[in-house]
Amino acid sequence: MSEIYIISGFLGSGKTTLINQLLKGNREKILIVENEVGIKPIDGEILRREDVEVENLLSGCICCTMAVDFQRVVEENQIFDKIIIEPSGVAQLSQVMKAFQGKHNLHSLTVVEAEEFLESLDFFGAFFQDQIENARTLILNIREERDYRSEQEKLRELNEFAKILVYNITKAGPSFQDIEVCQEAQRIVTENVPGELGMETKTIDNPEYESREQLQASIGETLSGARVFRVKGYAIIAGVLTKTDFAAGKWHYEEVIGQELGLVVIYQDF
Amino acid sequence: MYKDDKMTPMERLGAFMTGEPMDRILIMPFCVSIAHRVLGMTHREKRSSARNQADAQFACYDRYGNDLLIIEYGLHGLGSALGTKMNDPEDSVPAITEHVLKDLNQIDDLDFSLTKLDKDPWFQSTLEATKLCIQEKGTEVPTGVLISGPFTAASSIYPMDKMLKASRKEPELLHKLIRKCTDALKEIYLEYIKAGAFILQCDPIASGTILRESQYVEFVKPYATELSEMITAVGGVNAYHICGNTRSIVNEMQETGASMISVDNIVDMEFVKERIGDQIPILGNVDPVGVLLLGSREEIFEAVRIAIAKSYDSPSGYILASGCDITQNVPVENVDYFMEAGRYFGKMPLDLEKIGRP
Repeated sequence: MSEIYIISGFLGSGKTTLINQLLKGNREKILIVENEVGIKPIDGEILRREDVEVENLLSGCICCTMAVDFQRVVEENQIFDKIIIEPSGVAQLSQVMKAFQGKHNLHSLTVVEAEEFLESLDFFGAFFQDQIENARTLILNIREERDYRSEQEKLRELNEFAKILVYNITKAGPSFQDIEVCQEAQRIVTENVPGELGMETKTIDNPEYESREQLQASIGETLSGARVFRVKGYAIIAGVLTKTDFAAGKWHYEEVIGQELGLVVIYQDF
Repeated sequence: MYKDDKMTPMERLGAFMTGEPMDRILIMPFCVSIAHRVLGMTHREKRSSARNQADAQFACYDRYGNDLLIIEYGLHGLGSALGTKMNDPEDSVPAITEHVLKDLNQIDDLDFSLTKLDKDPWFQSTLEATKLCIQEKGTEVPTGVLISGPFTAASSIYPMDKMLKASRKEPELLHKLIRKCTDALKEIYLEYIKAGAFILQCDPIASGTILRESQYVEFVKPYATELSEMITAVGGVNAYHICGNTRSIVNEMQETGASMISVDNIVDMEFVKERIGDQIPILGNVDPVGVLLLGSREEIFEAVRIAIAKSYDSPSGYILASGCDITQNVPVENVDYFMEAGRYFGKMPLDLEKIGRP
């Protein structure tokens, strides 16, 4: 079975340079599937190698058929050892990953251009954050010799599970071994777009519980048969206003003052 | 008239507009990319002549009795008229291979007169197809033209990721490009409206997935509003569709002055109904991939039931539709099931017990 690598990142983040780096020391049979218009500057030397092929997936609606097209190409090309998918720079990584749900040989990586990262977060639409939140490996592509701690902290805040690597990709990059495999149970964050991936949201107004245990049991009962991904908001627990957060299977509680009461539950109904 | 219906689509639409009784709700699956399959020819054959484009729509209408014929000027028409290179696949929708504009500073080098009717063969062919639809079936079923909105039109000239960068670094130049697109689109829209067609203004690149609300407000809304004003001024109908997640901009979309709003399947119809249902008719939104491409007959029925259950009581009216264009790989019989389900659950007067809860 082919190993699948989804490499996402906005225009100019360094995706293609990264692919060139990955391919340099590799001698396996590799297919690169691209979803962008125009000729990509994959190294001529690499392209001439018999073990590397490139397929361009040009057509397909950006919003709905892309994932199905990727799925088809992967199914038809299982003779390759590795298949690298390079979606369009504005593609939602979660949408591309959706096509490969349940596969154990999936790696998702997002390249983030460090210099403009923090500014871009405030500027681009949901696709940008989606690419960061859903990657198993994040590469912060740096250009200068300076402290990038605030960028790394922000990446960690957005994705608490990903392996974060810092490279100046034009000089050096990771090997295939450095890229993490997606766990099947990996959290797929959809807080910005709960309508996607079949996620639903439920709002609980005026939540009041005798205990933390009762809160958890109550949500479990209300949504029996559903898989709860996230709970967040403020509830009164044992008479005390409490910030409540359930993520990645763990509950966190913190007593607070002066917040508006209400809980939001993000879940998937089976 | 379709065998299972009691009104023609024109009669039904007239009743919808005036609040008169209808035999069933309006059903408008977007049979665009699938139409050649229904007729039994390749996509290249379909796009090769106006006759084939019209016949593909007639084949859909004969088979499904759907309430709207759709001719495709498309999302890339403006760019390809200006010199954007497209591929020419035998049996799929053409895609851009190279954008004509490499540098926003060269906008003035583009010759926008190439987008005019006398110079653009694709415009001529699709307008001719529109006229054929209206001449031959216009008293029975309305015809719409699927055509890009201003932002997507610009992305057929200049790559969208570069447009996004430009929205931050060179906003004046991006405005200049969208301004020129809007002016060209006005003239193009006008020709189709004069022929008697509805405008199906699609702006997928303006999606909330790609743009922030503030970017939509700055780079899309003023131009879309101008186009709506023009359409309204000449008595046209403007159905406005944006793909992807439009939750944050659905009110802005309505404020452009469109005649009806269509949303992608990832947006909840109850949300749309609550936000804008009292202002404007809404269309939506059965998933064209998860349900129509991959679903069984039962799943299609259930998706149609849920769409109707969520939307039937939208105050300004509801039209059952697919959430986006139906791709050519959708089995043609799945659109039969979609229509069958629409007729079953959408029969008037509505049987709320049969429809059930969302």
